[in-house]
Amino acid sequence: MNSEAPAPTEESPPVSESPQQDMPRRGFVMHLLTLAVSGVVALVPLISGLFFFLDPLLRKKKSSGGEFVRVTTTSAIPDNGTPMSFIIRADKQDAWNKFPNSELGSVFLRKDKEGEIVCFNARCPHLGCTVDYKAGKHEFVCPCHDSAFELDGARTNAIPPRNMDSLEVEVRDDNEVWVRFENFAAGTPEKKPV
Amino acid sequence: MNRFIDWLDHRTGIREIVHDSLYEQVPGGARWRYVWGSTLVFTFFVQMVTGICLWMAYSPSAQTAWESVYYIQYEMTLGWLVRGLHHFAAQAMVVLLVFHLVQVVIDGAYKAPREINFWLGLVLMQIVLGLGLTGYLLPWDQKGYYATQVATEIMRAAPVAGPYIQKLVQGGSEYGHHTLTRFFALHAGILPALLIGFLVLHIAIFRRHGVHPKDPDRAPADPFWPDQVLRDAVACLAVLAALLGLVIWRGAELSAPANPGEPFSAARPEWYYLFLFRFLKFEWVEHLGLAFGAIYLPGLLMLILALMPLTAKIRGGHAFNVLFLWLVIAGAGGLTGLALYEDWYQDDADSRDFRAAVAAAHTDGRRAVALAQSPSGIPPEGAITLLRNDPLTQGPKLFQNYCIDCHQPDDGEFENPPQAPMLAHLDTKGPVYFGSRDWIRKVLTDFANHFAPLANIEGERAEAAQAILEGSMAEWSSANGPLLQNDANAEDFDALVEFLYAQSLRPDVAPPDDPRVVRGREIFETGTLTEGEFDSACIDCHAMHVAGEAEPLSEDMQPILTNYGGNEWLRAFIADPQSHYAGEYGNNAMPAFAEQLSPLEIDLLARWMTGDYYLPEEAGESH
Repeated sequence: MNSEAPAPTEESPPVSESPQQDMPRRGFVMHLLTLAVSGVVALVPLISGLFFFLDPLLRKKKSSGGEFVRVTTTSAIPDNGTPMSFIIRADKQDAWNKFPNSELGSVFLRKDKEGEIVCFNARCPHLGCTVDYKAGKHEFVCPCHDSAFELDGARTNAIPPRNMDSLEVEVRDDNEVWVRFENFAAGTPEKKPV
Repeated sequence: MNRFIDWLDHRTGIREIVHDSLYEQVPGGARWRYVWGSTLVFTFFVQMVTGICLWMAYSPSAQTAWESVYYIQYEMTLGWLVRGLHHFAAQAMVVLLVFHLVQVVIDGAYKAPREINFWLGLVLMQIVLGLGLTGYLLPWDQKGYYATQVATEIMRAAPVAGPYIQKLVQGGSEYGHHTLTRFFALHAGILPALLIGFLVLHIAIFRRHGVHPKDPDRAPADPFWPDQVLRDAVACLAVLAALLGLVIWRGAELSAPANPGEPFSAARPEWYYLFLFRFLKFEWVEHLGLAFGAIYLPGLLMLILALMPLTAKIRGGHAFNVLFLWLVIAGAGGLTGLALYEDWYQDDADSRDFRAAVAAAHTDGRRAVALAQSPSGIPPEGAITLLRNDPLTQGPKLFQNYCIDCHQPDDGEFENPPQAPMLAHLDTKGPVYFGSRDWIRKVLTDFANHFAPLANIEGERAEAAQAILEGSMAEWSSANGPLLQNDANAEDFDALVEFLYAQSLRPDVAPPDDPRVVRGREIFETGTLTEGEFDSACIDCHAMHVAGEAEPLSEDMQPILTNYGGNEWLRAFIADPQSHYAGEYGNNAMPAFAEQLSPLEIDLLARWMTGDYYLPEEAGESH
C-alpha cells in the first residue's frame, strides 16, 4: 500500500533484514525504477491539478474595463464644480456568465473652473473602499481609513499612496458624457490597471 | 537532513512507521495478484486531487452547475483533462472494485480472521457506488438529470420510508437548487469523509493480518518494498495510462443543460448500472414490482455476499461463494451485454429510435456549447435559455409539430398525401429550401408543379387551393416561364432571382448595388428582358418596398413581396397568411398560426427558415 506516495529517498537503503543483499546492483535498479514509476503515477494527476489551480494566472486577461462607457449627459453635472457620483454600467463577463449592463463600479464627475469635465474612479487608491464626497468640507473622504482628497483629486493626507485615479472623459454628440472606465491596483504609488 | 529526521523520529516514531509499512514481509513473495487494493487507493488519490480542483470551479445550483462545468471543460486550463480524469477514474474504481473483490474471494482472503475487513470492503464498495451516483448528477446536464431521476424514483419504491427518503435526498419533491446542494455535500463532503474513515480502518486491519498468501510456499517471503511496491506502481501506471487514453480518445461528455420540459429519449444510467436497468425491463420483473427488482433482489445478493465469511465455514461453503460470485458477475455481464446489444446493434424500431435520440442529444450538447462560446455568451438566467431561444434547435421541432403534415419532405413516411410545397428536410438541419434561389426559380417558371400538392387539400380550404392553382400567378408562370428559361435570358433570370432573394435580407444575399440585383430590379419593374417582355411586370400585381428605401416601388397590392422570404414577411405570413399575403384579392389555403403558436415560437420558426441564427466560425472538433 501507500505505493502512490513517493517514498522518501532518505529511507531507501534497506539496511536491515533485507534477504537479497547478495544482489546489490539489481536492488539499486529496482529501487530507482520503483521510485520513478511511483513518482510518475503520483505527479501526473498532481501536476494536471496544479495547472488547473493556476488557471487565473495562466489565462489571458479578459477584463471588463478599459472601454468607453456612456455615463450621463453634460447637463446632469452641476456647473458650480460640485462632484456627482455615477454608477458605471457595461456588459460584464464573470467566468461563464455574460451580464448585460451590469454594475462595474462608480465614478465622480465634476466640472472644473474652465467647465471641463473631469472624472475620478471612486475606488480609494489606498485599499479599495469607495470614497465619499463630503459636501460640507468640499473634499473626498474614504470612510475606511480616512484617506482624503481635494476636489481635483489631490491627496490631502499621507494615508493614500497616490491621488485619486482620474479617468479619461469624452463628450460625444455635444452632450453625452463617455468615460473610459478602469480599476487600478490599490496600495501602490503608481497607477497600474488591474 | 539526518538531524531533522532524528528530531522528528524522536517525537513521532516516523522511522518505525515508514519501516513497518515498507518492509512488511509478503509471504510467498511479491505477486501481481495483490495489486488491486493499491490501484483502488491510487484511483481514490486521483479522485481527491482532481475532485478538489473541480470543487474550486464548480457551482452547485440549477442556474450555475451546467454553466460552471461548461467553463471547466471548455475554458479553464487543462479543465478537460482534470474533469476527464475524474470522470473516468470514477468508472475505473468500479471496475477495480470488482477485480479486487474477485481476487479476495477466489483467494479465500475473506475468511476468518479477515471477516471484518471483508465487510469493511463491502461498505467501501457501497460508498464508491454512492459517489458515482451523486457525481453523475452534478453537471446538471440532460444525461445526468434524467438518469439520476430514475435512481431517486427507485428510492421512492423502498418500503415505508421510500417517499421520505426520496424527498430528503432531493431536498424537496422536485429536482432543483437543493437537489444539487445536497448531492454536492454528499459527493464532496460526507461520502469522501466516510470513504477515508473506512479506508483507514480497512488498511489498518489489512496490516494486522497481512496479505493473505495464495500459496505461501511458492517463493521466499519478500519485503513489501521494493518488489511489491514496484508491481503496485506499474499497475497504477497502467490504470493511469488507460485513464489518459480515455480522456484523450473520448473525453468526458457534457450534454445539453438539464431541462425538465425537454424529453431526453437517450436516457441511460451510467454503464455499470446497465445490468440493473436491463433487469428491470424484463416483463416478469416489472410484474413483481420495482421494489423487488431494484431493492429486494440486489439487497439479497449483497446479503449473500456479506455472509460469505460465515458461509465459508460450512463444508463446500468456499466453493459455493466462488461459484455465486462468478454467477452474479456472469449475470450482470450478460445483462450489460444484452442492454448494449439492444441499444447499439439490434435493428428494430426501438433501437433505431434510441440511437437517433443519442445522436440528437450529442447534437444538442454540442449546440449548447457552441452557443455558450458565442459572443452573446451565457445570459444571467443560465444556459437553459441558450437552446430554448435557439432557432436552429427549436425551428425543426416546431416545424415537425405544426408544419410537416402538409409541407412534407419527399423522403418521409406520411399517412396522407402532402397538401403544400416541400419547405425543408429535417434530418440534415441544413439550409431550408423555402425561399431559396431554387425555390424562387420554381415559383416563377414551374408554379403548377411547385404548388401541385395543394390539389390534395380537402374541406373548406379546398376552394382557395383550387383558386391558387388556377390563379393569375399560375397563368403568369406558364405564360412567362418559358421566356425566363430562354438561353438568351439566362442572365436576366439570375438577376431577377437575385433581386427577389435579396429582399429576404438573409445572411448570404447580394448587396443592393450588386449588378445582378440592380438588373433584377429593373426587370421586376419593367418586365422587359434581353429577349422579349413579360405579359405583365411583377410590379403590376405585387406590393414591394425595398429595404432601406424611403419610397415603396409599389403598394396596396397583394401578395406583398416586401421582405419576401425574410423574417418579417415570414412571421406575418405564419401568423396570418390571409391578411398579410392574400388579402381581399388573393387566395390563401394555409391556416393562420397566430392562435396556436406564441410570437416567440413564430419568431424561432421564421428565423430558422431564414437562417438567422448563430453558427460558429468553423465547426471544429474539440473535447
